[in-house]
Amino acid sequence: MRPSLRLLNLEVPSLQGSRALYVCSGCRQEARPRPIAARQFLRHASNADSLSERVRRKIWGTDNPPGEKDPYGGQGVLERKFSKQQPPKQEEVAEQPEEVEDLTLTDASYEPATTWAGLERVGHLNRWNDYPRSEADTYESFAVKTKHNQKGPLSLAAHQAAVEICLMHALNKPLVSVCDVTEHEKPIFDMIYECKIQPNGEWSKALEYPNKRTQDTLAYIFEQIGAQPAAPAAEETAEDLVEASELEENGEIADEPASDSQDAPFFGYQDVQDEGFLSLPLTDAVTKFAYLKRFSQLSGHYFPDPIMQQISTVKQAVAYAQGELNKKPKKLAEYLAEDQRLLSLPNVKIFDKRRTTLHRDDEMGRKKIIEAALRARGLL
Amino acid sequence: MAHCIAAPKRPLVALPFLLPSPCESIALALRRNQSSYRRTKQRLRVKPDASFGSSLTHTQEDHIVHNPPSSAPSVYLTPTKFLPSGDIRRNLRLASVKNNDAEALPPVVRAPSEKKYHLTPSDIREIRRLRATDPMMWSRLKLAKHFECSPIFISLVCETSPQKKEIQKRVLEAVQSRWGSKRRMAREDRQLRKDAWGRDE
Amino acid sequence: MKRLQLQRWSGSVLSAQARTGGRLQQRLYTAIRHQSTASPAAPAGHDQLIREQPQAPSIRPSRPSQSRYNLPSPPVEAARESAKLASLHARLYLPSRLPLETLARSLVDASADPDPNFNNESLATLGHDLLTQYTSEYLVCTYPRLPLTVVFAAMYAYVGPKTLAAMAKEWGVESVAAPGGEVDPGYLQFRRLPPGAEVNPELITGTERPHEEETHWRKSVTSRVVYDNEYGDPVKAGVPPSELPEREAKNNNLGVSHEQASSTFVHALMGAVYLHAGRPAAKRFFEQHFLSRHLNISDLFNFSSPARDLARLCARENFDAPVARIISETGRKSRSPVFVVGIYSGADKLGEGAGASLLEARFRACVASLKGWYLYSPLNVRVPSSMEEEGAAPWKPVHVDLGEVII
Repeated sequence: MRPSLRLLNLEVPSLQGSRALYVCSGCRQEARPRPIAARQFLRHASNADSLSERVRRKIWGTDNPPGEKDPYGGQGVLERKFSKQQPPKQEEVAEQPEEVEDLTLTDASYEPATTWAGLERVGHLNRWNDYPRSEADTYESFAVKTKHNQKGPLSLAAHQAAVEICLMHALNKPLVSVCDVTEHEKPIFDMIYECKIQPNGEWSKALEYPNKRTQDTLAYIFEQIGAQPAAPAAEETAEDLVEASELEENGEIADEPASDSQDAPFFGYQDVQDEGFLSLPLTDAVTKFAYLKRFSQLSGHYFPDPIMQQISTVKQAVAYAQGELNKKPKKLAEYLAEDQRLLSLPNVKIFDKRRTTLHRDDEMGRKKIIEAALRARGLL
Repeated sequence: MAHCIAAPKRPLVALPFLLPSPCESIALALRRNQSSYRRTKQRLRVKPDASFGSSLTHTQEDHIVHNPPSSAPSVYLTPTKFLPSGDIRRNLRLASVKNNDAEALPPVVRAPSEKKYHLTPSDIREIRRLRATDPMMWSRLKLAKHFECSPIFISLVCETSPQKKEIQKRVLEAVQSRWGSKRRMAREDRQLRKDAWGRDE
Repeated sequence: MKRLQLQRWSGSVLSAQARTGGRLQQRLYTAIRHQSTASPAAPAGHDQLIREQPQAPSIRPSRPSQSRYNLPSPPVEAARESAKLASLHARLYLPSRLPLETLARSLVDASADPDPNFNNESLATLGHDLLTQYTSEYLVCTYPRLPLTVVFAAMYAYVGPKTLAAMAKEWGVESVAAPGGEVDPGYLQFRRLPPGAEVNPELITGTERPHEEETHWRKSVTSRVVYDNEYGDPVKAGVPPSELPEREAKNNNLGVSHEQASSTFVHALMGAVYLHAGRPAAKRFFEQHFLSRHLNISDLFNFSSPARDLARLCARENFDAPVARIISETGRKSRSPVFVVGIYSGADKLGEGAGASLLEARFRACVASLKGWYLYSPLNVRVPSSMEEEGAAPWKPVHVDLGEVII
């Protein structure tokens, strides 16, 4: 009897015996196995002939088409690539059995491990992580550890950097070497603090010392900085500052900040005395680089290249460090919280924090259930 | 509408736009498009149906075209006979509709049978006796034929014995057991359709 | 177009559906008993949260937000902080005289907060009465000839719990996972049923109907007016006040379904609008939110033998006996014929129907005629409650019909 057209006989024999599914005529086409058309260009691994060879055969209609084997000048790029890749593959296949045989021959008592215990350690066998820290392992920051953001410390840093670069200019020494000493001792800083800068545009002549002795001392100190390696220089400056501090103890600098602010940056100084350094130009590339390097070392601010291109005076550098050039954008919630029109709407609530699932759980009453369940399981 | 589509057969002179003008002679395709477009437009200019309002008489006036498709009347439109006597719509409708004669009414589906009321109480006793004595012989249909009344009247008068009911039920089961799936489904579908009549679906 | 859930059909073909319709009626009874006992104090059977409340507190004492977790429902002052509540108020275009606090209270189900001073039970009782009154008077005055089963079905379609739950969903009322004092007062607060609980008990026992255990007895439609609720469903009887605490405690542990809580909320909102904004606003609210929903009443009918009913009707009304006449036909001998049959009483056509057989067409024509009778609607319908307004025109009696055809 002819089978009904409405019943689709699946070709795959099912385990529960013959099963006839009712499939409507529309869905019957989809339920059928995929047509053969999609598989027409499948290549089997067994036919070793290349595609062009098969095409030639098909064109000529014989298994041995006349003419050259390959009239197109050898193998194509892809075929060559494949043929290159294939031989090693075959070698691997060939080698693997040998290795297995070797293993079985040499290690008769081989037992595959089930746990890691007792296995030989692979990797750095000398237990590198157990060694104490070497010099190479310690990291010292180029810049100061704390990043200054307020106006006072930034001005102090800019002033100090300006004074130092001026000094180096005056002494005709490599400018960048001021960065060898990250922080000066207090007496030296006091002296630097006392110095003023005339905004006359010349780095070498801009510095104005409070007195001759300061000039001599600073010149002496900074004479040593560039010449020697950094660590001795720092020591010597330390020695110097003992003398200098003795000198200062004797008398001239009266307005000394409180001693408990030793740990504070810039020894507790709040702001600079004069603003003359702000107008110093940063047109010379060497000076600019040296100044910005020293300033970023003292202030902890990093100057990206585009910003460095824009900066042409000290004032701009300080302004960038203060965040005036590209201000941090204000949060949307702060803007909205000031909007009186929004605040007066009863159906609008403004939160400064993102509302998370936890908030939603809380206001739907689900949080206490979750917490109770966690407590009951001892997870909270 | 067929006559409207076939109608415009006029001499070519009357349709000057069909003649190719000198400027259009180059663009052959364009000319053919335009002519077919105009011909289509021309054919669409059909005379409005008579029910669209007599535009010949009232050409200048605005009017509302009310030409609903033919459909069953809405059940929310209460028939005039069902309106209570106090309702104002009753008089309005009676005034507007002209009287129909009985001859103008459409033919009846089935002629109404005149009720005879000819059975006497003794006849009814006889019916009951017959049905009680031999329920297999005196079925409802046979009794109705014998006494010239409807089977419904027989069922109103008397009831058959439970044994007969049981036998009838078995006969029905036996008949239904021989139905195949197609017949069974068709019968079920018929019953479902019948139920849908009552819900007006 | 809004489509109502038409769950009910008149006639004897469909079995009566089991629904939970009785709770509100029972609440109604208990609330009446509350009033008769005249003791505003909470009953003694409530749980501890209620005991620590002062007796009959006018306003819940304000506490720091830490202890909100101890409250069964959000405090009164939280209503002003909730954006959800304000937007719900605005979305429903509620009158501004209805304060947010009352809207918040109407969202608290009795299963969440058993204290009658803080849940919506009293508001729901009022709103339920208003809704059923307005709907029933609208139906009876607009369609004075409707059979009682159809009236029940239409009532269920207009203000049944399923419809009200759908409305609350359309209004955008969301529900809490669990009630508590810390939740946003803009959520619908109720205690959910435990998983696997029976939502629709098949058989409601404990009604006031005598001989209710005789399930095979015929229940007349008229008796459903007396013993059953406004949808014609059996309803649990009220409890005497002495047993009230135990019943309350038992109910509170159970929780309610979402559908039930939503319908209670809509009832409570109706009551709140009536209380705060007055009768005209409540009527406007009813017309805008309930009557504006489209319900095709002609779909609620289901006839089993319309020809017989129509013959009885014509005999009752002293019309000529109905006669079926073929108005038009096509393809009588074909595979798909169409007959148009009209039912005539004398020279007047009562209705017409089309069908693929003469029998079907006649059946449908009878159905159409009967619907034409039952769906009569007078002109200029006025409902009795319109007399409550100031300066209303003198009342003219509405059309009262003999009733449906009873075979």
